[in-house]
Amino acid sequence: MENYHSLLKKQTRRHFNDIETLSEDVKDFIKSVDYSYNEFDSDRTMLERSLDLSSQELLQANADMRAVFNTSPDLFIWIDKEGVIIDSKGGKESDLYLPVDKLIGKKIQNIPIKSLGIKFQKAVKRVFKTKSITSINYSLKKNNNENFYEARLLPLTDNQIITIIRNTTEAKKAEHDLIRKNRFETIISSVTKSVHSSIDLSEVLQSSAKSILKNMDGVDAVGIYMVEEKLAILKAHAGLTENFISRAGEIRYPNGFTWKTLIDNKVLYCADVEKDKYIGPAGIRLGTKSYVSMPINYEGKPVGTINTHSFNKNSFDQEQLNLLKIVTQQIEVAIRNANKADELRQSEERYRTLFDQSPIGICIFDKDMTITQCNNAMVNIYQSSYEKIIGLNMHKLNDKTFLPIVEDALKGKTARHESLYETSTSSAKLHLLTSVVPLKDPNGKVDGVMGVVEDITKRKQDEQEILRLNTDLEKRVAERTIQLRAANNELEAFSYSVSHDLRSPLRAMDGFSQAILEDYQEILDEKGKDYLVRIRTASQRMSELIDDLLNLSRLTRSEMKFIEVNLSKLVKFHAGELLTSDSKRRVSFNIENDVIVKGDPKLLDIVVENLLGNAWKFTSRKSSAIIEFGVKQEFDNLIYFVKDNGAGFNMKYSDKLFGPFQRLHSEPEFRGSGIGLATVQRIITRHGGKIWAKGAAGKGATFFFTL
Amino acid sequence: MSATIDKIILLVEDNPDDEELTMRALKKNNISNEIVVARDGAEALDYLFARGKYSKRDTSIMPQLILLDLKLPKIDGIEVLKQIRSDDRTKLLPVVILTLSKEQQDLVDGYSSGANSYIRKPVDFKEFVKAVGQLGLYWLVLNESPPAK
Repeated sequence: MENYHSLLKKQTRRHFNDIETLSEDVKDFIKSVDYSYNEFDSDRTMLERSLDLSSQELLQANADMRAVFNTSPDLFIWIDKEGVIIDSKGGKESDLYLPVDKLIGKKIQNIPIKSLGIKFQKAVKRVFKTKSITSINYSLKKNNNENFYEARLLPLTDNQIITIIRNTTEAKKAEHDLIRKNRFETIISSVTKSVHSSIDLSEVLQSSAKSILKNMDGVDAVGIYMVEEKLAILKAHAGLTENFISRAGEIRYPNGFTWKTLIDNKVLYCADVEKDKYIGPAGIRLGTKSYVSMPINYEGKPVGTINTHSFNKNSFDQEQLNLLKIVTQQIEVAIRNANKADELRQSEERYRTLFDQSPIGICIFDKDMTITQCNNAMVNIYQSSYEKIIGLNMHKLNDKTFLPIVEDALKGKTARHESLYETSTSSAKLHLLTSVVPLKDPNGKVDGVMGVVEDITKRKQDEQEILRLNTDLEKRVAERTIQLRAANNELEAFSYSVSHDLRSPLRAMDGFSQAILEDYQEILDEKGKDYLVRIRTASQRMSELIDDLLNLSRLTRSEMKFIEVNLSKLVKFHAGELLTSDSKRRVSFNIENDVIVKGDPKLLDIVVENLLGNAWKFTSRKSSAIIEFGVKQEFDNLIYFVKDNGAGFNMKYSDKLFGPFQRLHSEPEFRGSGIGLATVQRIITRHGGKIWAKGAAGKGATFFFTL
Repeated sequence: MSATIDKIILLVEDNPDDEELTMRALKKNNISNEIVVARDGAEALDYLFARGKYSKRDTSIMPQLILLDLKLPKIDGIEVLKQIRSDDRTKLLPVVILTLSKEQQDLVDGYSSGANSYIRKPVDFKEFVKAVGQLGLYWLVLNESPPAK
């Protein structure tokens, strides 16, 4: 026993080099050990057991303890039964309201923060009483920063407990952040989900408002406004009172912070409404102390706001503003979607109207050639019912000719064909024009066919009718041509007779008058001879008339050619002829060059010859005659003219100019049969033109014509 | 040569006025040949081929000139001309068409049927006399008749 004791002493001494330098409590501890070993030497079993601990192990445990104390961020405090702080280890001074060393010897209930002291006193009592671990939480504020602590009190011996104080600020913040993050994610996901699952904007707005209210700390009410002209209208809300809604359900420009946000198109954050000049009475009444108003943009313009109210000051931090921004962006997407959906719906409506109202039958087949859609016209054409056609497979359709082209269309080809379709209800066959167009899915694969069926029966009938009328017309034209030809032949025969038979008596009159003049001149006086001469003149004149008349009728019967004719050349030729025919006359011709027309060269030659001959004839009394030929444009028409400065005519008789045998001048005045202008008119008419004249007696005449 | 001594002119003319005027014009030109007048186409052909009332005629004697009007009763001038040209006995006889008609068709028909010349009878008698004079000079004096059979 003595040996054990001395061994313990030796070991203690070796470990604690100088027992006198040790702190009092260790010294006491060793002394008390010494004492107890000396006192209770008889309790050998216990002593042996203690001595079982190898000195090495003891040292190791001690070192471990020290390491723990030194490395642990926690503060360890030993407290006795009276609440006196016996010792402390570890911890950071900054974390505590007092330096650690100053705590020792003081009672825990006397720490400067009374409430916390009481908390500790109660906990200490409880630990000694229950002999079990107790923990308390508390927070300390320092320089506007709040730190959170957890104190765990463990019973050590009957009269000593150890308190481990841990700064839990970081952990608490992390936990808070996590919760917040989760709630933010909840907001974003719920808003995003509703944006993508609904094209109904009001639904999206409502779920956004609700989600913000539910998941964002410090938010007491949410209102989402949309602008309609000069009003901001509350479209969705959460947490707003009836009173507020009735007062601020519609906010007129430029009232309240809503319009301030809209006008500036900027986020408006008010941390304290007492310092704010925008909040309206409804917001004050609601109890708003701080708010955020976030503009909603569409195509770069503010179209609404998200107003978030809090009944506390300083309720929003940057993170919440960012979150509101994200929600706003989602709502902007929702607005775009809603507008797109609206456009799509309008387009769909237009398409639907077109489809329904089209007079052309339209149907849509799926890949299996089953009709999935069709319009009224289709039902009418097939004289069926909507119910019968929808779901009908191509193979079962009466119109068998439809099948092959639908098959073609399923192979990606566009096709059309005409067919005759026998309806079940009427015996008449319908003429159908069918077209098919392949329909493709977004990947370009053919997944259906659009069939377009047009009832062209009426058109076909019309075509037939036109064809029949044409044939009929041709037949009638042919018949008429035969009749005309016969009439023409008859006329020719008539002309032949006229020329032959009318001339014959004239010859006799002329011939026998001459015979009398020759054979009986002795018994005829001058008057008798004169009469016979008159008979002869009259006969010959009539012969000329007959010739002219025949020529005229021949003109209208001859076949016409249509080629280019240079009228200027014809005019020059006849002018030359006239000038050589009478070298004594002084006539100057003004002829426009290269007037080219289309017509019959022989007939146009007669026109020129007559008009020029006329001008020549009626200027015969003029000492200096001028004859002009030219062309002028009037609107779309080219008008050709022959102008002279001769005898002219009275416009009163201008309508008589072109009648056969009509003369405006007496025979002795100007010779002529009166057939020339009639001939000219006939030729012009045959060319589809017109002729007219202007003039005045003694002031020349101008003949105009078109071709 | 005995056959040509007579130098007969066959005048085929249905109109007595024209007949008289033609005779007068010939006479004015001192054409004193014997003139046989046929008053229609059939009579003209009867004369030439010795048929009907001319059946006893010596067909070795043929007229030196035929003056043929186109518009004739029974057989018209063109048909007469065709028959003259299709018979060996008459096909070389000079035929001059005398007509009032100026119709071009007559001209074409006349020449294609083998007329030797074509003369329009003008209304002016003096002109006619001139034309007949030129005609007689050419066919009766200048022109050698084809040899008779």
